[in-house]
Amino acid sequence: MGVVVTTIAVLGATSGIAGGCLREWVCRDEDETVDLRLVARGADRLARLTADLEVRGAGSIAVLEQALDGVDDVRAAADWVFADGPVDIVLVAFGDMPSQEEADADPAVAAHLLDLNGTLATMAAHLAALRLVEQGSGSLAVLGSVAGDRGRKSNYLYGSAKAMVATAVAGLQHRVAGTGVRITLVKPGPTATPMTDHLRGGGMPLAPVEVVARDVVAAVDAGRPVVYTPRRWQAIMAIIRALPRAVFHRTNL
Amino acid sequence: MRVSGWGRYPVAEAEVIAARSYEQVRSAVLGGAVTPRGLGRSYGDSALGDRVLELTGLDHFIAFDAATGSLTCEAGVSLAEVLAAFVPRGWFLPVTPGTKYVTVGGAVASDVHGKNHHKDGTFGDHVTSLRLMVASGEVLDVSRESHPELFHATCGGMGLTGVILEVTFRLKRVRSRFVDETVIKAPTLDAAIEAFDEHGSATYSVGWIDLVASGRRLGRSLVMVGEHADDGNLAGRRGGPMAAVPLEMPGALLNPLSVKAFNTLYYERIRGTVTQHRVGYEPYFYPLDKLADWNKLYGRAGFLQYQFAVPFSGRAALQEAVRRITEARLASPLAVLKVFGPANDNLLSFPMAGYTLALDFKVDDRALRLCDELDRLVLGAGGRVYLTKDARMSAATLRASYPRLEEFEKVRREYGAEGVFTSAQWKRWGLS
Repeated sequence: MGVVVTTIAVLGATSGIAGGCLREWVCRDEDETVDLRLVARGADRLARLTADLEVRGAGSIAVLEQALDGVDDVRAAADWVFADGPVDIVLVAFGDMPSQEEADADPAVAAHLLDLNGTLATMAAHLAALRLVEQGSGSLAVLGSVAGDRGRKSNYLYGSAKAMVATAVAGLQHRVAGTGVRITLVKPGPTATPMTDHLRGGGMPLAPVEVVARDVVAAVDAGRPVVYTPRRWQAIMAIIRALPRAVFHRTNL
Repeated sequence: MRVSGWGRYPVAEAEVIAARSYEQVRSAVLGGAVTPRGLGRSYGDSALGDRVLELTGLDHFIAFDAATGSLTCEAGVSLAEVLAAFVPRGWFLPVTPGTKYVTVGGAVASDVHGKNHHKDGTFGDHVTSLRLMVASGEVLDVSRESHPELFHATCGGMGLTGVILEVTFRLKRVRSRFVDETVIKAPTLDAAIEAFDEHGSATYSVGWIDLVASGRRLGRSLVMVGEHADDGNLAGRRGGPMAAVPLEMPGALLNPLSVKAFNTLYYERIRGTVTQHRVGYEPYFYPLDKLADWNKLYGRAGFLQYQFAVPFSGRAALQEAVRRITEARLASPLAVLKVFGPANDNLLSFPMAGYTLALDFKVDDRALRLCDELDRLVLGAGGRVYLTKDARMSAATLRASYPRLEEFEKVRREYGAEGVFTSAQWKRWGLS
């Protein structure tokens, strides 16, 4: 274990993309000690995750087992993350994606989807950004989605929540300009994680989580404001955004 | 979903269930017959079935003891992940097959072997215990001591005794990520076998055999022996993305002429009779992993991989097989010759003391007929064919060449595995 110590905090640590990023961070450099502060729900999955990261060579791992279902949860999580000294990188990764049919069938599911992926993710990003500004340095990465780039019939509720996150991150980037804090909005395409297991074999190819994780870690290192991952999604979404309505409405996306 | 093995033959329609937790595995097992599957690198139909249980989502490390090298991980962890995490810290796999894109569970189920079989045996020989979900949904900790029959049935048992959830096995110490390789040019098959004998004490040895050259060059080989280097250089670049085979290659790309040209170049590029160089462990152990989807090189029809082993007393059969394959002009450029060490106690494990030869054929009737012919030759010599690569062997050949099959079936009955754990291969043999 080496000379550089990096402290990384993750809200929603058991999400598939967060898990990939954590592995990448822990393994990327033998001369770096990576201390972790992880927040997620599900004691069993958290225990599996932390054992895995320990074997891979993580430094200290602090765990807060807590759902992020309301603004109080998010505030408590943000307080906990920063209670034990400065943090170099914060990743906001929690979320869920029920299918559009489930959301159609039950407005409560739809409202929770909007709340969790939109309001609460935005609150988490907002609180973390302010804490990093207080510290005077650090990086924040927030998981958005290509789904936030244009509303599509198959998942506009999830997409609109992610669009909210994107707009909030743009505002936060404006707000932290010149403070030494850097914020990255991550826009993954469909990725093979537990959240998308129900989409497997459905014709939409799912990117391996390792590829997405590598892109996220590199983008945070470089301080890029926005990263599409895999990269081709930048071009694909540019086209989808540019499609005239008349054409778009004839597609089945 | 359409599913196939690495040979892309045969292809089957299957329901694919992705399990990410032991609960999901249990509900799949209790819900009907399943075929456990890892990264799908077995070649034929051993990981195909109506309900395929994909276990690559069980991908966590669980514990590592740096004093002994004992690693416990979930069965869906790939060997590539093990290497990426442990080579920088000076640990290596005790046994590795020719690709790192297999899961640890798959390595146990196939009881895979590598270039060090003559010294270190199979992957299963380095496993100390397994966590296995049996047909009832119960999870058992299985070791040689606690459940000897079940342990020896599960190592090499093709996933037919239960779902391997976790594996504990020993890594070995290395002092470098590099391997010192010596290449010996062997102008004939006899010379190749002599080279294996001469280098019997080397940690790794494998031969690339030219199955196109005929006449007095019949069976000419490059025998490659290796040792882990000692230079303390463990850190290295992490592997970049693999090159991909573009779309579907026309099947005619690999024809007798192109293979002959490739083989001549490959053989003649080595100038001296004995040459030495230092290479990274990846090009040394996994030359084909550089090319993602190399299985597409054979075109849409897919390919058969045929690997047999015969005891040392069957040297004449090996020679005859080389002659027939060469005469048939059907072989691929990728043929591998090796001398195996002794067999182990695992009931369906493939390796046995003697010679092994592995090669690919593009799938067609002539290749299938040749394989049947080779089966007879191998059986006559007291040998057998590797189940993990098989897509076409008959049940009679299986029974005649795997003498402990009945013991295996008995263990399966004892643990209620019949009708619960199955595969297209198992059903093809008419077994329950």
